Formats: sequence, structure tokens, C-alpha cells
Amino acid sequence: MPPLAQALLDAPAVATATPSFDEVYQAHARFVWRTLRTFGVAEVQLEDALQDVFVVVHRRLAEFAGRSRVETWLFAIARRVASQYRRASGRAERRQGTEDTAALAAADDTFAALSRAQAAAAVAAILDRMDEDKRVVFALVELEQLAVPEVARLLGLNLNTAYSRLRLARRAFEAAVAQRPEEP
Amino acid sequence: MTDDLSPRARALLDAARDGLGPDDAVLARVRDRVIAGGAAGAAGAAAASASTGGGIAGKLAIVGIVAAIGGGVWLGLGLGRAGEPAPAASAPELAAPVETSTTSRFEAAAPTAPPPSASPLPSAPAVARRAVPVTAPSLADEVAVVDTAMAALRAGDLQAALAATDRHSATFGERGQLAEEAAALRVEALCRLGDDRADAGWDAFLVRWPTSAQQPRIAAACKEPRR
Repeated sequence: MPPLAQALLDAPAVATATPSFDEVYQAHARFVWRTLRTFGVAEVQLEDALQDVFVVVHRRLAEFAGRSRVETWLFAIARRVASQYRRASGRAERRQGTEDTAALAAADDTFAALSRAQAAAAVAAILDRMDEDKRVVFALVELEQLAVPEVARLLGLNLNTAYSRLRLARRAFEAAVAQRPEEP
Repeated sequence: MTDDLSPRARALLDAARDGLGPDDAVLARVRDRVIAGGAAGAAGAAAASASTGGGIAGKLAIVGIVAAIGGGVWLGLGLGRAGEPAPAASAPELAAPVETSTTSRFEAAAPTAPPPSASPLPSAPAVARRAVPVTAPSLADEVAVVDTAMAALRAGDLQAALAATDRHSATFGERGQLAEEAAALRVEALCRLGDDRADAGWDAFLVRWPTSAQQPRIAAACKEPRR
């Protein structure tokens, strides 16, 4: 289980001490990056968006002072920053209603000789074509390996709604993968 | 309850997980930029403080004295929400020094935007939050103000909603029992207006109420510009 998921499951509700900036950055920068991506920040803007998130963290960490788990806070900041980027770029509308499993499968290279980068590109292409509501739940559960109740809490969803979105997202993802050539 | 993924789909996800993150060089670059910005800001603040014989530090000391004097009154009100730690020295108005030259790209690209305020109610005068009325308004009064803001939002009268949240801030401050709701309504109104203060207000809200159930509502309101 990834460190983030383990931390969310194991950590007490209120952190006992505020970690340093570097501790937060080292432990969670990759999670923030993926969260930004999940919320629709364009690939070319991810580095800037990551910087924006951690500028906020750098400014506010002492003030934050363990009011909640750091992961929860980072997730919320990342969502806020992603929203800002999306408003600026107008990408959100283009993402809506474009889910098409056939197109999803056709968008990517073959499954053969799959490198990590290729796998990432393939998954990214599939996720990009999902509706955001489903994409976010799917990514948090399947990529970040958070428990569904935790995801529901982070997103402010009814638990059944979270499960429903996950189920639909899994079906879409599965359909896209099934239409890809079999890997050798 | 949910259809599980096939081994093949799961293998693809497992292979992709690391690749979806940034590489080490990008992480190091971003980290260095953030730290460098913060250091420059801190140095600038220190220089300003030295050159003005106190500057922000002096203001902080004054605020600290005021807070200490007012502490008994604040504690007497005891209006903190269950489960929320009482703000200590991190009260938003004490966070001004964090406004350094460390800027996000969006902030740098928006020169007309005021500096992000640490307050969840960024346009409210800081003094108002420290001024505790001798006779505390009732909860019913507070509910009425928040109801007014909500009704205005529903009606699309965003300026009226902002005015109501300003009244809440001036009257009840952050110790109000509905401060969280009022702050959320304010950020929502600012976002729907496309106001430059929205992002700073949202940041401050996240710091003050990081686990708030209001966050999805704010996120939805701020997803797209309305005006």
C-alpha cells in the first residue's frame, strides 16, 4: 500500500506535530502532482501547478499547524489550484461528455513492450476521456489506493455515490483496456 | 458492491502509477523555486522590518498585545466549534508576514489582484475581527445574517451575499458559530463574481477549516467562472 493510503488509514485524526516543508514535499509531491492531473490540469502546466500548491504550503504550513492530516489539506489545496488552472485554460468544458470507450482504446499505443512511461501515457489517455466525477474517484481509489469511504469524505460525496462512480469508472476503464491489443 | 478490475487492467494501472508522477529532476526544480522564493520573501520582510524600525514585527507585537488583552473576552465567548482547535497565534490576522515575495504563477500574472489575505473573509477589516462587542449578538442574529447571505446567493444577488458575509465578519468575527458557513458563502460569492480575492479566500478557508464539509460546495462554485 502506498505511503499516502497507509497514512490516511493509520494516522490519528489530528496530527501531533507539524512536519517541515521538506518532509511534506518529499512525502507528498508526487501525490499532489497526480491529484492535479486527475483534476484536469494539462500536462504542460503540471509543473507550474505543483509549484503553486507548494507555494501555498510553504506560506501556510506553520499556520496550518496540524488542523487536519497534511494529506487532506494538500488534496484540498491541489483541488483549488487545479480549479484555478482549469478556469484559466477553459479545459473543463472540453472534457465533459467526451467519454467514448472505443476512442479511448484507439488513442494509445499497443500494450506490448509496455514501459512505465507508456503505461502512464495509456492510463492518462483513458482517464482524460472520463467524466471528471468518475475520473477523480477512480484515480483516488485505483491509483492512490485510498479506501472508498475516505474518498467519499474528501470529495464530500455520499458513500453510495462514490461507489457508484467507482463502478462506472471501472467499467469504462475495463472497456478501454479490453479494446487494446493484447500484450505479448 | 463495485465491479472489480481485471488483472490486466490492474497491471496497467500498477505499471502506470509511478510514471504518472513527475521525475526527480522536476521535483527538485520545483522545490528549489519554492524555497528560493520563500527565502527571498523572508529576507525582504526582514530588511523592511529593520529599515522601518519594526515594521511587520512591530505590528505583530501590537496585535499580540491586543490579542492577549482580548484573550479573556474571546475565551469567555467560547464559541469555537466542536472538533475545531481554537486558533492560537495562527489567527489569520497574525499571518500577514507569510505574504512574502513568494508568489504563485497565477498571483504573479494577476497584478491587479490584492495580496492574498490569510483571512477566510478577505475583504473584512482585520480590526473588526478583534473588536469584541461588549454585548455579544445572539445566535439568532448570526443565523439571520447567514440566512440572508444564503438567500442572496440563491437569488443570484452576489453583491448582497458579500455584503451579508461582511456583516457577519464585522459582527461575529471568526468566533461566530457560523463563521465557517459564512466564510464558505463568501468564497462562493467571490468565485461566482470572478473576483480576484476568491483564490486567496479559498486558500485561507482551507487553512482555517481543512476538513470542512463546505469544501465540495466551494469547489463546485469555483469550478468555472460565472461572470
